[in-house]
Amino acid sequence: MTLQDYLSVLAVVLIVLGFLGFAIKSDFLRRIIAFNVMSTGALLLLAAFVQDVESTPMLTSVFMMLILVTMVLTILTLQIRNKLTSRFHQHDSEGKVDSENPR
Amino acid sequence: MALLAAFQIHHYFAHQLDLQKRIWWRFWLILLGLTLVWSAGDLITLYVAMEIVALGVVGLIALGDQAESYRSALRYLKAVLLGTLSFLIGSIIIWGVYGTVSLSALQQQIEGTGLTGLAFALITVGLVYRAALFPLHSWLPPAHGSSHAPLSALLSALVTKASFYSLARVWLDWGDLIGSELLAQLLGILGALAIVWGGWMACRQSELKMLVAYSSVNQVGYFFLFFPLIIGVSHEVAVLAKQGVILQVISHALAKAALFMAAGNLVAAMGSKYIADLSGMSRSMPLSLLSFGFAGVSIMGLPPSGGFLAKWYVLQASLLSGQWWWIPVLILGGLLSAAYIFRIFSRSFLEECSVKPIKPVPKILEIAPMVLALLAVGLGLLASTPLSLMTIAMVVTDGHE
Repeated sequence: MTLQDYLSVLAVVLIVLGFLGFAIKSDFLRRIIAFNVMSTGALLLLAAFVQDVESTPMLTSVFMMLILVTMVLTILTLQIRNKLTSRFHQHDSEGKVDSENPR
Repeated sequence: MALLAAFQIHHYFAHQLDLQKRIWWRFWLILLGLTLVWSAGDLITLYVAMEIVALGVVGLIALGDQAESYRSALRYLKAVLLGTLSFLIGSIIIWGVYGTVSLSALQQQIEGTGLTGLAFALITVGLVYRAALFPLHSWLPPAHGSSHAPLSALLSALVTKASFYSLARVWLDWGDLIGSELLAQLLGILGALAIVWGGWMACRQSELKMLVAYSSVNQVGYFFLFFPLIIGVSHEVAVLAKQGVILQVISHALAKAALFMAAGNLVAAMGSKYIADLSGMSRSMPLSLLSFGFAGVSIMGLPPSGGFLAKWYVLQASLLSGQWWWIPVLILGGLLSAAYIFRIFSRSFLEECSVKPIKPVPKILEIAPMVLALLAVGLGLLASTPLSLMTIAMVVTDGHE
């Protein structure tokens, strides 16, 4: 196996793990982490797949953009969640906010 | 449409200047994202554009500043996270296989291999989640129902269209080549289920805005009848279906925005969000109720509205392609929409009105929904104008490819 194969297998494992984490755990923080694991997997997949394309500068910018998007989404989610719990003090029931919609 | 929404936002929040300031940058963020979605030429740009829209939307939903609206915002975020990630993974696979993500370049290269099929399925699932098709729709009603009325109008009329537009674009380019008639039929069936389920749920809601929000689920279902009618059929049918769905998208955008704005006015006037409290409103708020009715005509699909013409085209397309099973769905959907629209009216014309204080709503707030509703109804008569505009757009994009 080449490096590329290893990377793509690893990426697929990460994506699947992340997805399972998202689907099985209803805990909020775990889901956020699962999402981040998944998007790391997606980035790795990109790295593995698109190695031999000559347009490296464009690829770099795409990477940075994708990382930025993931980061912003994570921050936003945490922020909203933070507001929800700190302002309305409903700690115990909020953990299952998203679990009403099982996939 | 966006202009009218801006107008409405301006006046709706006229007494809450602080809140208004916080709305505008989100509003422009959404518009920026939508423009990007419309003009995107490759998958990665499309992805980023959809994320920009999502950021603005989450901000708008969370503005409700109640536990409920934060919770809906989180739900919406979940749809965004999973949906767009699935889309991204699909695009990355495509990039890896073909070495490009440009939509026009892909149209010539793409072929139906297993890996491409997987990528295609991932992209479809992601976008379907974002567009709130039936089994994945549960984020939509709370999100649209719990935000401020003019904002819901914006969300419902424009934002779900962005995902649908992306999906339609991908399918139009590749659907025939990958040859996934089964998937197309599946999307159609889900659309049909959405029509029935959304209509049924809308009939059962006790809150006015939730009814309108579920009616969105119902109407989004119609968009997805489009896919089985463009894949694997004759050119003539595909053109009919295309025109039908364009009309449906436009008329739904206009009518739903009008519904939400009118509902917002009614809710503000009666100081209660329940349908049961509507009795007697026909006397105090005739104008808002009238625009609600006009928009309802289009939603139900009565002639001469845009909604009617759209459904007529879809009906013809399904007859021509021999897919008769969509016709009972269309009829049932029309009946259900009529049922939930008339529910509002039967309530509001009751005169046994228990006397309650009615807060007068500034007249200026009633203008925008009226204009939108009239446009929605008039669309049927003037259909040739938007259609020819769209045809020009299609010719232009074809020229590029």
